[in-house]
Amino acid sequence: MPIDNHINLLKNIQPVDPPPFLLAKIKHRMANTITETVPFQWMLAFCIVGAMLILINVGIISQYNTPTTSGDIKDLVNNWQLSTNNTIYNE
Amino acid sequence: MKVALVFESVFEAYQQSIYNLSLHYLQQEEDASDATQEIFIKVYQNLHQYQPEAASLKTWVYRIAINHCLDLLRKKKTKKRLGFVLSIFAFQDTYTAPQLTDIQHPGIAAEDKEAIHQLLHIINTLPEAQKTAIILAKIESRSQKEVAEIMGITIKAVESLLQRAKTNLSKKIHR
Repeated sequence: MPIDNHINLLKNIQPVDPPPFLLAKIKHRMANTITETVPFQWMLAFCIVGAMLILINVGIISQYNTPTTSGDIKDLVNNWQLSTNNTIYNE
Repeated sequence: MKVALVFESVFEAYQQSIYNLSLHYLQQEEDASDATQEIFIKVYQNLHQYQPEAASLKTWVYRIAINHCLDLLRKKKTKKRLGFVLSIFAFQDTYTAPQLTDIQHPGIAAEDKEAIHQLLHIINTLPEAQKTAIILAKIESRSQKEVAEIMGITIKAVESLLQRAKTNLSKKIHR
């Protein structure tokens, strides 16, 4: 059978009526959706708390990540009398 | 109040065509009914964004419907791909591959059932644009101009899509 004959079979599909009470169901769903929406104040509060948390984290990380200068290391080595060579037994 | 009245008139005007369109895409009465409800909720929520100069109301509602149905089919496909993983972890919502017998289209007469179900099964494997062109032009018998308007493409592009769809269908049918 040529392809056009196959495709023409699709024209035999008849339109059907939608199920009853569709509008009532839609209205019911919309009413439920409206009650489920988050109030604007809640969203604002959530955003502010989120931003504060991020800022606190950034602050803490930047504090811990301050690069140690070579002068600081030298002071530490002198104060603690640390050895700066690989000779273990001081021979 | 005014929006609600406009919405009801839009619903009255297009409920049948949108339900039938959903049925052509999803091929299950229950899925089509759910999809129609979701489509009209989207229409209601976006009614204030409708621009009459950009497209006719019918075209606008059709575009929402087509995008929604294609989204649902994509989700089903993803679910199918993840079906094995979900079954390992024994999730309740496991997906079973659709069979020919899953097609429940009340608009198909009993004598054409087998042939049309097989054809729809093959149409389901076509790319989205080709499937949309076939549904609008061949099942809904819309003119190429209307199909072009709804799909937001040129008439030439519609012709090309239909031609490619025919070639693909022919290959798959005669395989």
